[in-house]
Amino acid sequence: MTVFHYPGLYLCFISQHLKKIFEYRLSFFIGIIPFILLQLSAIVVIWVIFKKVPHIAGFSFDEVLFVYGLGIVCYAFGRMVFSNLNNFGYRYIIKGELDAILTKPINPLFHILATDFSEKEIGELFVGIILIIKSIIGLKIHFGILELLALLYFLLNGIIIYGSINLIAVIICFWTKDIQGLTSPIMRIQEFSQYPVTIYGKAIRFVITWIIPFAFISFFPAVFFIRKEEFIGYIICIPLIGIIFPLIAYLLWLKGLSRYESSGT
Amino acid sequence: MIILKDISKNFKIPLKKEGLIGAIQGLFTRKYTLKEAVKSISFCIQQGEMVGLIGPNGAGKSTLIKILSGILVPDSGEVEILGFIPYRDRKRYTQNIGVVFGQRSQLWWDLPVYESYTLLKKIYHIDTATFNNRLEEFSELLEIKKLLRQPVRTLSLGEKMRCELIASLLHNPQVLFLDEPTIALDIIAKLKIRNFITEWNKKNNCTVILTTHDLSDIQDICKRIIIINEGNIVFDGEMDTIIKRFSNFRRLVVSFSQDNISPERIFQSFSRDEKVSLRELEIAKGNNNSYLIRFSDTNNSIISLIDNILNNFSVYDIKIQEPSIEMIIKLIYEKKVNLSS
Repeated sequence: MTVFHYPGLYLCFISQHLKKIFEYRLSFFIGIIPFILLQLSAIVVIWVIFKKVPHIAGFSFDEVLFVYGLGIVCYAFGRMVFSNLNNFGYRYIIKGELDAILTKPINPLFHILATDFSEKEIGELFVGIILIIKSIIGLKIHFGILELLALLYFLLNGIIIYGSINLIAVIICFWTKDIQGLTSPIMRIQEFSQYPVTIYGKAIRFVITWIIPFAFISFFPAVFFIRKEEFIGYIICIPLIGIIFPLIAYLLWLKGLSRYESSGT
Repeated sequence: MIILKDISKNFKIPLKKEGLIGAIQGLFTRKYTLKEAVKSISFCIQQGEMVGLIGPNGAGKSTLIKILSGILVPDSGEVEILGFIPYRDRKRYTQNIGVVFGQRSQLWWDLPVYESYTLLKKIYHIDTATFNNRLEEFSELLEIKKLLRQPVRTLSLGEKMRCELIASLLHNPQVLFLDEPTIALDIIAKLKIRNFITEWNKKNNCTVILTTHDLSDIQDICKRIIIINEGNIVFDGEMDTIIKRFSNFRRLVVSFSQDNISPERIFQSFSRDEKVSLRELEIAKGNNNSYLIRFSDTNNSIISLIDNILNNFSVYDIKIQEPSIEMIIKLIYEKKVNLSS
């Protein structure tokens, strides 16, 4: 099994999952509605705020929408691809399903990620894309092939950073042997990063930039398109974070795996 | 070829305090007890052997099989199987082994059985012709053809286990690990699985390692058994040795349908010859009107004994009790049975 086989294998897993979705079509449609409503309500809140004030921390309505829209797209994609990490503690550590994973000749982390896929975020994804298009038009950003490629790169990079953070949060389960790890506190912080980070105090800014680098997932990529000069130092760091963080996460994963104790049968 | 040398594995078990306050305390200070699950175990298994690993609950069987299958990393010692170190060369190693956990599924719960197999086909890189041939052969032998289109969750335990077995064999492994494959199955399902494993071993000369706490599984399948207790090997040798030695420890449980029975009366009913040949005879009263007769059965005198009892008394029920694994281990420990010869 070489690296080149993995994309094909991933498609195989996903197609199995899609078969399941088609079988339960109604549940699919019901499942995506709350997520769309959630995002729409957040947008309404932003809109109401901008009815009262023209700028927040120097950001205009369309700029905030752009930041927010890119955030939705990155996080929705991230949650779709990494959804099985939510079950990691319970399913794989406590119930010991990692046993079966470890007896297969493919990368165990890949196997876990490919095993599940969340489709509920598809509605959010659309909301995000519409926001991005709307704000690009509103801000009159020049958007050519190069910008599109940059956007796709940032998207991929963002998903990888998101996955790494999520992975680190659940790897803790190897040591603590509980269900959640640090997922819910860490993933809550994520919500901060969907708005311009400059509206927060120094402490929060520092945390979501350098400790848990949520700001590199969507905020710094977003300002690349609208305020390059102001944040140039951070923008240069985006690819670095996109390499260093996954590396840290994967090393921790390997460390955790060697500590895996299975569960008694 | 499987070589194990001085393998040990310890588990740290956190001592959890009771109640909410205890749980909060546990966040800051945790005390652990060390459980030595496997203590310096060594053995060697040749290609094609069928070996039974038995032992009571918590003896270390599962831990050992998890070390062998590359799931757990041993704390110390060396393990080499098919020229690989299981936990280090995991990817290449697992391509050559099959693993079935009786209590854990490797099939995808929501998918039809066949879909699970096609995923495994991809995972193990099995070419289509080989895959189809093997699946055809196996599903014929294990009678699961009709089940292939059913989702796994709708299968009965016995059906599921047969499907699991096929899942672990599609890539033609050289070593097959079975961790309690017949647990909670009825006797017919057990027999199907046992027959299949035996046939398959003959045909492919594949090594089979099986854990169970059902002695009858092993009697049918394995020539060699390894008995484990408290992380140590208590016995490693031929199944026949065990059967011969321990048939002495069969017990007869007789429920009488007549009253006025006493151990003395039972004893007196035996013929002179029997009294001589039945050494170490013990008769004890059990519940209700049943009696427990234990003796050293040297020349299969159990038959004449039953005959005798049936002739002299009116009997409601009669049972032969085989020694349990727990009892065998106890006897080995107490050195009542010498296995060294």
